[in-house]
Amino acid sequence: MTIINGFLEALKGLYNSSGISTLTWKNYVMICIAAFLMYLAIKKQYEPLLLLPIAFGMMLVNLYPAIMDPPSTQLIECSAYEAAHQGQVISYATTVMDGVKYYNVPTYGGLLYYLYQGVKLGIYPPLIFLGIGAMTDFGPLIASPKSFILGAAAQIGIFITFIGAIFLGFTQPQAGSIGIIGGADGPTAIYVTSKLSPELLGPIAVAAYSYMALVPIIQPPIMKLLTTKKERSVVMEQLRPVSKLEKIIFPIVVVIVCAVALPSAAPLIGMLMLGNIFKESGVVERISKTAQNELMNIITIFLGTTVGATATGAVFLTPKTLGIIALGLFAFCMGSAFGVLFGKLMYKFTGGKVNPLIGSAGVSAVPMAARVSNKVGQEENPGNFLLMHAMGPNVAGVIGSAVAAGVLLSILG
Amino acid sequence: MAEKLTISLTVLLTGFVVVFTVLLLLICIIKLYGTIVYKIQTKKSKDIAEENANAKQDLSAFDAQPAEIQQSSSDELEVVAAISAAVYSLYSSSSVKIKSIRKRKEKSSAWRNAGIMDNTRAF
Repeated sequence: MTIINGFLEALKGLYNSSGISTLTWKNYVMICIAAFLMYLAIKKQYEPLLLLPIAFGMMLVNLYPAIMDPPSTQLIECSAYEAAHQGQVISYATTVMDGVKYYNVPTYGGLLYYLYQGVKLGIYPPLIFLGIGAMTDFGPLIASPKSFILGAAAQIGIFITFIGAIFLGFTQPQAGSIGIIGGADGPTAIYVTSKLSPELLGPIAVAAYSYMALVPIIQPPIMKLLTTKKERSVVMEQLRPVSKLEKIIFPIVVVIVCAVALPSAAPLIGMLMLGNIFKESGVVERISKTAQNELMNIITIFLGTTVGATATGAVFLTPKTLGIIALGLFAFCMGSAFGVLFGKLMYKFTGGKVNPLIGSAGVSAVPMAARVSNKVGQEENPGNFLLMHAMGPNVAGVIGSAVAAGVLLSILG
Repeated sequence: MAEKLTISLTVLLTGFVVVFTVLLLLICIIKLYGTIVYKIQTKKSKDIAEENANAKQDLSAFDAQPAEIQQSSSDELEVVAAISAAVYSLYSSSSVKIKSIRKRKEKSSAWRNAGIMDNTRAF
């Protein structure tokens, strides 16, 4: 009988600690959202490198919320603890309550809590930028520096969305974090949010990466709406070749200008340009390859999984999140639209030599946005290859969004 | 309300001005050093080209011309053979006749574009 009672007690304990009794409907909704995101990543291949770890992290935290629990202290009665740990030299601090002495026994946090510190402390996004820098060829931007104008124009959406968020009742730092989604740059959005409003990290990261993944769906209608058939058919002149020396000087110049003008953007731009000089110098091939592959992949796993793990049901399923997702979409659309509109201006000023479609690539989202410009251009003229022309504004957008992030951090931080 | 409007317009104006100023500054600097580097390197390559031309002239004095023509003609025949083989392999029919082979004037070749697509794959 004692054995059966013990067995039933054990079952009861297991039931009480299991997800069946602890999870709420919000957790189950989040699990469904995670499953949908995994479907998009695997079946539709929308940014699978990021969306898959994010979705899996989201599922994991909603199945087992303690995986993100911070370390804490547990009060255990001294006599009970000593009985259970005979022979152990105990050096914990003690607390006396109602005449009973307790040990303050520290408990460790969940696995993802520790990995999340890289996000919280703003370590992962600059490391991702290091990898992106080592992968990026800034040649098209150096060959056509005017692309920087398009990279700057596409950031206007960030600041317009900031206004919208302020008037919708978000605080200033929260509005800044929401606006940065318009830069379509995941690491930048995470970096800014971790500094300004860490409480919104989950919804903002999910929105930023989702919109980056949906670039091929969101941008073409905006591009077609704002341009004429004639403008879309413009075939641009081939870019001039860029020498190795120019490519080596570029990261040094950019980091000096940006870090002096806007020190708060230095961690992002500094790491981006460090990665790029690894690549372009050609003398540290091993380091360059590590930054591009192993380091980038490891950080992507940690960043994606832990960012996804911030999206618990209680945090994510609120009207605020819906507002963030709507504002993020608005920011992204505005960024694309302003890029195209400035592209149209350049079309006019250059006498029709610039195809305005490359303007939408200024929203960053490398290289997806440039591919979309190329694809939309080829719909009008299959022999028109805009990819390299669009890569200029695209990589300028990475620098532009980091500068915009620096502006937000210096005003609101 | 007035406070919200003030901060909104401050951020909009500051953001717009700072982002454009920094990036316009970068445009100027890149154009400047690009022009300098381009000029230096063009001058260098011109010097090298001149040296090569002088060397060629020296070689022509030793009656190297017929050999060069022979080499060129042999190269062309090899190209024709390769293209013919590719065409016959693709259509696998003896009814195909190649009448002429001309170089297409394209701004960017398929190989180049394939290379670009490969190098700009998603991160």
